[in-house]
Amino acid sequence: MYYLRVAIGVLFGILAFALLDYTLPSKNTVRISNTYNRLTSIPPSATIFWASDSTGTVENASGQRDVRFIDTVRPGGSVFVYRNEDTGWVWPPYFKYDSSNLHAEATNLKSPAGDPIWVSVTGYGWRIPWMSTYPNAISINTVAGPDERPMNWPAMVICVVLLMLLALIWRMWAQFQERGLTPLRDRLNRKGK
Amino acid sequence: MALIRLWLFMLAVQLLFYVLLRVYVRSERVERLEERWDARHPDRAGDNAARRAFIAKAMAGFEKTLKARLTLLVFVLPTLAVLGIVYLVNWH
Repeated sequence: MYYLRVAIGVLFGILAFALLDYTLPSKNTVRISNTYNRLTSIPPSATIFWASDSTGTVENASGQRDVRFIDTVRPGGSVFVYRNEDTGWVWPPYFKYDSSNLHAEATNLKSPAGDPIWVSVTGYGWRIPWMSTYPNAISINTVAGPDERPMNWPAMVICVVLLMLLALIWRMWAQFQERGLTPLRDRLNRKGK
Repeated sequence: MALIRLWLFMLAVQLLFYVLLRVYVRSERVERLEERWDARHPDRAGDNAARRAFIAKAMAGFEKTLKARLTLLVFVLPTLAVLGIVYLVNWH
């Protein structure tokens, strides 16, 4: 029983961390090498990693979706591909509906390897090649050079707010236990005797 | 449609949290009043009619206190956060 509880606790911790890691914004300093649209079929197993249906996405008869992509190159030379989709008013709560503008911005900042323009792309999500998942780009800012890594303050603010909320709920639960559950248990025990 | 769904969902969560927060703030205040009574009247400490009357009297104006009113922020802050995110993501 004890080991089962530990295992469930550890699994819950991993799940919470994965959820935050997926949902919170992250920043990467990259060079944009290409921007394009591609008809993409989204496998049913990976639908949660793409925009939900009610965000204005359109699929053709064979279930393919026209998705905007941003190809980027990292300072080290490895490549990284972003998708650029609206999140609308659905999960995750980025309320993004300026994908067209963002795509125009990305295309404007496209640069060749010889004359690079370095940008910091904010996005959320995971790149899992074998599941065809791509992180969603949220915003693009130019930076001075490949070594510049802007502070990821949005993720920090969200973490602090979540921690404060957790502390409040903790306090509320402790108060309920002290004033609600313990007296009730005492009364039931007394009645039982 | 999605906006209405988001709004309804937020309202439901806010209502639930508001009720729980209200119960919590009240409970904290009652506890503090009980402690104050017990400190003032060590001879009549513990749950009794006089203490209950004292607490009922002290809690009468609770709805109008600043703390009780501040709990209404539960309905304001999430909407402000959403508006802030919308601004930062789409116009910044």
